Amino acid sequence: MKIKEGYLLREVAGQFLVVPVGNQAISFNGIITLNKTGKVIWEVLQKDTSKATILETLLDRFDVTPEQASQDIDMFLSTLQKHQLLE
Amino acid sequence: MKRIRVGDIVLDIELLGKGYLQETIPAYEVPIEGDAHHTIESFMVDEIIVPNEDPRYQEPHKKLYSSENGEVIITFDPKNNHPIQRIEYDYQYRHVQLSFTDRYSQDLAEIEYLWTGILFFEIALLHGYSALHASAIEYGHEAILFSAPSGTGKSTQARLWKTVYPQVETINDDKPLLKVEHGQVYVYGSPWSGKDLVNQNAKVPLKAIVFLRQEGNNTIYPLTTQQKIIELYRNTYRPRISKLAEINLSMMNQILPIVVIISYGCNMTLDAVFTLHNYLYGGTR
Repeated sequence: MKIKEGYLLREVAGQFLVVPVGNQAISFNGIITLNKTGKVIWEVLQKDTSKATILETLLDRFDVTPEQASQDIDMFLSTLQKHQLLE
Repeated sequence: MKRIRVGDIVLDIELLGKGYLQETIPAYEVPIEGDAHHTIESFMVDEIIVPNEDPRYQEPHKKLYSSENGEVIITFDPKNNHPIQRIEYDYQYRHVQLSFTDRYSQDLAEIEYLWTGILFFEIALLHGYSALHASAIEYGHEAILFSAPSGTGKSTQARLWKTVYPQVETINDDKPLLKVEHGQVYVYGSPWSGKDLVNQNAKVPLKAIVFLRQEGNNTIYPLTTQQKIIELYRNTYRPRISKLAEINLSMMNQILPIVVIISYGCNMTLDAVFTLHNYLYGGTR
């Protein structure tokens, strides 16, 4: 799985924001704010990847249990799917 | 061809429609000496030429073509699908051409206003000016911006301030420009100022951005950084082109830490002016 093309992730005033550009800006007229975990998952999803790789990255970067990280990933992925942000 | 200067943007512009920009442009006109940064020209043509290649994006009556040099947007007549409008520009917006068929003879000025507005706000971003959907007033040599979705009462608040303080002037009643210079945000007027054409060619330091919502009482709500970002982003001109979106976000990053940004639940009485004035100036003036 991978995030669709056409989104910019930037840090603005200490907040992580995702905004649509190109064709996505025509069909999606909004802004996404991410927390630190969401930002890392979003970055991993820039390339085609698996849940296992995302989990490994979160465990490496954050002081979190595998169960909690797995739950966070599932929630995040389900939000991305709901908003059709995954390829 | 007329030459206008908005902030430090020098733009040559030639339009066909009567009204709208023909009325607001004179306040920004400067003598033609040397080269302009950008040129916007409008033409009436017999036939619109449609590019041969596949569009990059399409809607029912609109197609967008892009190449490494720029973009072409073609609009088609919903009745017979004939091309009736062609907007063409390079990515630096050095030469912008708007072509229309005679189908637009009635509402040409309005169509030109809308298109040149979009293109001008993109040009402005290239120069570091971000357009905010707001009614901007000047009070005590400072600018207060009332921002909100259409119909919330931006212009009404501006009028109420004029009623209480006759020295208040409107800088721009629709999309004032913001620019950060030496750690201070300035508000600039421009000819693109909405249906009522209310604007002045001015540069005024920004006092506060006030995001309005209609309420029975008058209450100031502080905003978290995240809420400020969401409100600002929602109400700024949002470009499609990646490079411009980057500039827009970078502008927000500069503006956020140095500007008073609040949410204001207010009614449409003079008390709305007094409550906000009290908050911003602590009861002085």
